[in-house]
Amino acid sequence: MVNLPLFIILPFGVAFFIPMVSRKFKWVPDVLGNITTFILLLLSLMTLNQEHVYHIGGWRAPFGIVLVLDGLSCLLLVIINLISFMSSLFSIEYLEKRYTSKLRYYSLFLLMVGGMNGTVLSGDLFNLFVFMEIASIASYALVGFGCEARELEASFKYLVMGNVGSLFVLYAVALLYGKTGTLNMADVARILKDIPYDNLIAFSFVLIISGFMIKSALVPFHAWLPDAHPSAPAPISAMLSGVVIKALGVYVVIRLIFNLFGFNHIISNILVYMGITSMIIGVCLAILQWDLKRLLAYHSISQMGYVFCGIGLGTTLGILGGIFHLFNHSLFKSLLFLDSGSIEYETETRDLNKMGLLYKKMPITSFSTLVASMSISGIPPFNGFWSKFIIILASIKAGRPIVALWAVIGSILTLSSFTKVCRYSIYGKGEKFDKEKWEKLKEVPDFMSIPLIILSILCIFTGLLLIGLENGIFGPVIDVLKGGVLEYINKVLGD
Amino acid sequence: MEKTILIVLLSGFIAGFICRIIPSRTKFIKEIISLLTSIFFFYFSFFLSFVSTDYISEFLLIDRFSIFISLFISLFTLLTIIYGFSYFDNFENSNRYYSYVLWTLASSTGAIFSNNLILFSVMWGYLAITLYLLLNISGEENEYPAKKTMIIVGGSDSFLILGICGLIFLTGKYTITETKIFIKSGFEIAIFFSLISASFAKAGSMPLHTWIPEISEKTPSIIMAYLPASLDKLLGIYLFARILLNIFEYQVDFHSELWFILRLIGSLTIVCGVLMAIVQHNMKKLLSYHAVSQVGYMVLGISSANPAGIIGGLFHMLNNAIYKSLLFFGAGNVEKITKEVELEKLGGLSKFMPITFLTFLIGSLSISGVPPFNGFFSKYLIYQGLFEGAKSGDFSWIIWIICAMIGSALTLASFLKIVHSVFLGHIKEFKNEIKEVPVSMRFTVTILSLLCIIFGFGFILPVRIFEMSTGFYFERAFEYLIPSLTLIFVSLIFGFIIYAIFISVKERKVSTFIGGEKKFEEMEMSGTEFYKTIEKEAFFSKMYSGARKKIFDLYENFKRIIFYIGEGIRATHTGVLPTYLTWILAGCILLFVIFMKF
Repeated sequence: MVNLPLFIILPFGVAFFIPMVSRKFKWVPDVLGNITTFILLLLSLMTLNQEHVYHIGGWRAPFGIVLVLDGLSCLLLVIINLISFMSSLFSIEYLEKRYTSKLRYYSLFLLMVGGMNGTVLSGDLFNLFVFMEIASIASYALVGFGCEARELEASFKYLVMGNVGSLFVLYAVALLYGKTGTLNMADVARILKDIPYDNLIAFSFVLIISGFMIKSALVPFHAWLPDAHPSAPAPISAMLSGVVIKALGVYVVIRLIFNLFGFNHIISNILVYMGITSMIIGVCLAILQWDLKRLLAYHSISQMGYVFCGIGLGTTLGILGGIFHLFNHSLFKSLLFLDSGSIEYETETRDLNKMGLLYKKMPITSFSTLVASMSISGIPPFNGFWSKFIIILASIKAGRPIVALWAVIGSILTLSSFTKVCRYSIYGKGEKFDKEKWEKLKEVPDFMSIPLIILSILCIFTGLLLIGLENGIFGPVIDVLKGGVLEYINKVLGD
Repeated sequence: MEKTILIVLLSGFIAGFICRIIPSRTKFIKEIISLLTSIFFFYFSFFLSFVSTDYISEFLLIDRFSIFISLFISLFTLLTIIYGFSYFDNFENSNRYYSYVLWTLASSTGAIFSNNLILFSVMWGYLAITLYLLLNISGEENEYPAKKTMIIVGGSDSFLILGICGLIFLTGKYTITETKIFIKSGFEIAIFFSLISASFAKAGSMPLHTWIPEISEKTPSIIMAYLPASLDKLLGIYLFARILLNIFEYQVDFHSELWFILRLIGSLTIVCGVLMAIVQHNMKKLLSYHAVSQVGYMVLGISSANPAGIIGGLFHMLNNAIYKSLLFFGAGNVEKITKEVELEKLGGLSKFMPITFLTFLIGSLSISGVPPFNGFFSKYLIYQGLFEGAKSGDFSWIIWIICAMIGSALTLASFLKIVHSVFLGHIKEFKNEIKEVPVSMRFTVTILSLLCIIFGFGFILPVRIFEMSTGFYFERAFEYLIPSLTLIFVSLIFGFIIYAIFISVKERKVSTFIGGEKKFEEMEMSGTEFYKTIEKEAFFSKMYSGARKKIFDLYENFKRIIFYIGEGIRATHTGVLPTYLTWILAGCILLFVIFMKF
C-alpha cells in the first residue's frame, strides 16, 4: 500500500531542497528533479486499482483531514506524474539553450506537481483550495519564466483571471462551510443531501463550478488560456495543457458535480452545451492561427469540450468516452507541445510560415508530430480515434445525435487544422522559409527525443486500454462517477 | 480463419515496417521484401478463392465478393511494385514508398475482409493516413493537394464513424452482415448518407471528388495509378455496394427519391467529370477527371436497383480499375521518358514507344467503351439496367441514359485527343533520348492490357462471380448483346474498308507552302486545338470559369465559411483583460439564472 502523503511531501520537500544545495552543484536540479518525478511515476503506477482513505494523524473523517484515493484520483495521479516525468526529462536539454535558472525552474515545477497531486487526493474543500492555489501560483510563475514582455503580460493575465477563479472558489467554500459547518467533502455531501435545496446552495454551487471552469478553460471562461499556454517554456506548456487544466479544472468539476452536489439532467445539459461551444469555438479559432503553440493552445479548449461533452452525457459509455479522452488528450497534447518545443529549439521560431521540410532534418520530431496530429484528429488506429468514437457512440445512444454531429464536425475541423501543421512544418514549407537556416538543422538531443518517442508509442498503443469497455481499466473511474454522492460518502465516512 | 487472416495482415504491416527502418541504400532488399509480400497476399487471396464455402464470423466476412476484390487489390499492388522497380531510380523518396504501399495493401485487405464495423472503420481510416503519406513522398509541391485529400478523405471517415455509431445504436449489432436496416425516418436517411459520403470520398464521386484532379499534377503517376485509379475505386465502390446490398434493406419501391438522388449524383459525376476532362492540357489531369467521371457509371449502375445494373456497376468498377491504372501507368511511361506531361509539348511517340502506345490505345478504347474490350460490356450492362427502370413507369431513366451516352461519347473524344497528341502527330523535340521504357514497366502495362482484353472476351466469368457474390441473377440482359455487337462490328468493318481504300490510293507528300515564309512550330495544329473551342461556347465558358474559381468545390466553400466564422470569433478576442473578465461575469450570471430560483 502506497503511503498517500508521499505524493505531496516528496515533491514539496525536493522543491525546497533543490535551491539549498544547487548553488554549488549545477547538475543537482536536473538529477533531483528527474529522480523525483520518476519515483512519483512509479508510486502512481503502484496505486492502480487501489482504493484507500488516508486519515492524517489518525483522526477520523469528519474531524481530521483525509486523503482519498479512488479510481478517479488514481487515474489523475498516473496522468500527472507520467506527463511531469516526460516534461522534466525534456527540460534537461531544453532549458540549456534559452533559460538560465534551472534551480528555480525545478523548484516551481515540483511545487506545481505536488500541488496537483494534493488537489486530486484531497478529501476536504479547504485543502483542495490550498493545493490548487499552490499549483496555480507555481504555474503563474512558470508561464512568465522567460521574463520577456510578452511572457510577463501573459503571466499577468493568467494571474488575474486565475485569481478570479480562485476567489470564486474560496468564497463558495466559505459559504458552504457556513451552510453545513464542515469542510470535509463527503460530510458536506451528506449534509447537503438531507437539507432542502435553496438559493444559497445554488449560489455557492455556481460560484465553485465556474471557479473551476475558469481553470479548465471552458468557453466563455477560456480567454486566459491562449495567452498563457504558448508563453511558457515548452515542457511547461505540455504540463499546463496536458495536466494542469485537467487536474485543477476538469477533475474538480466532475468530482464536485458527481460526488458532492449530485448529477442531474440540468447539469448534464449545461456540461454538454458548454462542451459543444468550446469544441467548435476553440477549433474555429485554432484553424486561423499561424503561431504553432497558440494553435495548440486553442485546441486544448476544443478538446476539453469533448471531455465535458462525454462526461456531461452522464451515461456509462459517455463517461468512459470523456475519461478516456481526458487520458488521451494528456498524452497527445503534451506530445504536441513537446514537439513544438523541439521545433522551436532547433528553428528558433514558432511561426508556421517560417519553418518547413522538417522530415528531412528532424525525423523523430516529424514522426511524433505526425502521430500526435493524427491522434488528436481522431484518425484510427491512434488513441484519439477510440475516445472520440466512444463519445460519438455514447451521444447517439443517449438519444442526442446532434451532439454526435457536432463532435464529428469538430473532428473534421481539428483534422484540417493539424494537416495545416503537418503541411507547413513537416512536409511543405512556409512563405518565409529560410533555406540557409534549414541546412543547419539537426535532430534534437537525446534527452529531448526520448520523451517524444515514448509518448508517440503510447499514442499508438493506448487505444488497447479500451478493451473490456466499461469493465476494463477505466471501470473503477466509471464506478466512482456512476456511484454518485452516496458511494462517495460511504467510502470516506463509512466503517 | 481469424488467426490466418491476422497473420497475413500482420505480415504486411511488419514487412512495411521493415522496409521503413532499413536504410535507404539497400533499395534492392526493399524491392525483394515488398515483392515477396505482395506475392504472398496474391497467393493467399488466390488460395481463398478455392475455398468453397463463405466464412462469416463476428470479425470476418469472407465471401465471393470480398475474395474477388482482395484478389485484385493484391494483383494491383503486385503490378505497382513491379512497375516501381524501374520507375523510381531517380526519385529520392522511393525508400518510403515501399513501406507505405505494403501498409496500404495490408489495411485494404483488412478492410475488405472485416465484418466488424469498428474493425472496418479502423482499417479504412488507416488507409487515409497511408494515402496522405504516399502523396507526401513526392515532396513539397504536393503539400497542398495532400492536405486537401487528407481533409476530404479523413473528414468523410468521421462521417463513416457517425454512420457506424448510428447503425450500432439502431441494431445493437456490430457486424456488417447482421445490420439490416429498413429506411423509415430521417435518422436512417442521415445514417445512409453518412456512410455513403465515406464511399464517395474514397471513390471520388461528386461532390467529394475534388481531391483527385488536385493531386494529379504533382503526384507520381505510379501512385496515381495505384491509389485513386485502382485501389480507392475498388474500396469505395465495395463499401457503396455493401451499404446498399448488405447494410440497408434493398428496397426498390420505397423511397424512390433516395434512388433518384443517387442516380442524379451518378449522372452529374459522369457529365461534369468528362466535360472537365475534355478541356485539360495536362495528361495526368485529364486522366484524373476521367477517374472521377467513370465513378458516375458505377454509382448509376448500382443505384439502378436491378440486377443487370448492379452487376454492371460492379463489373465496371473492376474494369475501370484495370484500364485506369493502365492509362496512368502509360502516362507514367511517357513522363519517365520525356519528362513532360503537357499535351502540347508531346507528339509522335508511337514510333519510339510501341508497347506503351499499343497498351495505351487498348486502355483508351476500353474506357471509351469500344468492343471487344472490357469497358464495353460493363457499360452495356449498366445501360441495360437503366432500361429496366422503364418498366416501373418512371421516365427519369431517359435522362440517365442520355447522360451516360454523352459521357461515353465525350470520353471517346477526349481519348482521341490524348492519343493523337501524345503518340501520333508531329514528332516533337525532346531533351532526352526517346526510347521504350524498361522491362518491368512494360511488363505491368502489358499484363493490364491483356486483362482488358481477357475481361472483354471472357466477360461472362467476372459477371458470374459478381452474380454469385451479390445474389442477384439476371437472365435477359444479354439477349440483345449479339445483335448489337454484330451491328458494331459491321460498322467497324465498314470503317476499316473505307480506310483501306483510302490508304491504298497513291499519295505524294510535299511540304506545305505558306507564301514563302519559313514554317514555325506554332503554326502547327496540335491535338488540343480543336477542343479549345468548347471552352468558348456561351454556356460552357461560364461553367469552366466557375470551375476554375473553384465555386463548385465543396471543400473550398466550406473553407470560406469556416474562415469567415473564425475571423468573426477572433475579432471578439481583443486581448483586453476587462473584456475577458466581463465574459467570465456573463458566464457566471448565465449559470446563476439557470440554477437559482427567483
